[in-house]
Amino acid sequence: MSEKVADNPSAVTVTRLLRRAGGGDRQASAELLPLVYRELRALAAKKMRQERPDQTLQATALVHEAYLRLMDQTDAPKWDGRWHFFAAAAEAMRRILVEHARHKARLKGGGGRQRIDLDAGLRIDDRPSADLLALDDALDALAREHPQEAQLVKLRYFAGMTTDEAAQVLGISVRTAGRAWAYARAWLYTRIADS
Amino acid sequence: MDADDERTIFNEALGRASSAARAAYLDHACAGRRAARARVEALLAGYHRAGDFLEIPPPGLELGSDVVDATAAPAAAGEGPER
Repeated sequence: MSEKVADNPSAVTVTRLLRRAGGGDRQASAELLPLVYRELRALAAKKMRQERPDQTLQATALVHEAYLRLMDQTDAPKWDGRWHFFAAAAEAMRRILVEHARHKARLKGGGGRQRIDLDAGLRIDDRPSADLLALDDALDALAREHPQEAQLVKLRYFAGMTTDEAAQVLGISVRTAGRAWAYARAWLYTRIADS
Repeated sequence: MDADDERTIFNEALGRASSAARAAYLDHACAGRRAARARVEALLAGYHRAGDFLEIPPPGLELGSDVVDATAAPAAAGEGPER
C-alpha cells in the first residue's frame, strides 16, 4: 500500500511541517490538520472501494496507514516531530467520525428512507452515533477545563495510541498520563450520564 | 474547588486501597467543603461504573455492509483488513 515519496508530494510538506511543529511552531501544527484530515478521508474512501463489502475498517488502522503514507520515511525516524502528526490525526479522525454521526442523525431526524450518500462514500454504524455526538460535546467541555486530559483522550481514543505513546506526545510521564486517563474517563462518563 | 484541585483529590482518593481509607482521606481533603466532596464522590462512582467506556476503539468505518464488527479489523500499524 505504500507509495514512494516522489509520488506523494504531500509527504514532503507534512514532513516539513512536522519538523517546524517539533521546534515549537504552533502555526505549523495548525497547518497539519487539514492535510492529515484530507488524507484520512481519501484513504477511507479508497479502502471503501477496494475492500470486500463485509470488511470493517478501524480508525486506528487508518491513522497508522496515513502516517506511513504521509511521512518521508527516510527522514521520519530521526526526530520527535512525528508526534504532532498523531495529535493532528487524532483530531482529524474525531472530526470525520463525528461529521458522519451528525450526518446520519440528520437523515434519521428527517424521517425519510432516502439512501445515505456521503461524499467520501463511507458510513458509520447506526448504533454509536448518539454516543459519539454526546462524547464530542463532553470532550469540548473537558477541553475547556482540562485541555491536557482532553488531548489525551483524543490521542488514545481517536488515534489508537497506548498510554505510553500518548504520554510521549504530551511530554508527560506515563504515571501522570495514567492518572489523567482515569480522571478523564470518570469526568466524561459522569458528564454524559448526567446530560 | 477549582478543577485542578478536584483532579488531585480524585486521583489521591482513587489511590487509596480500601473504601474506608478513601473515606478517611476525603474527610480530611474535603473538610468543610460538602460540594467538593459530592463532586469527587460522583466522579469516583462514575469511574467505577464506566466499564470499558473509551477503552474499546470507536466504531469502525463501515465498508458497505449493514453489519459492523468492530473487532474484525486488526488495529496494528499499517495493516489493513485481511483479503
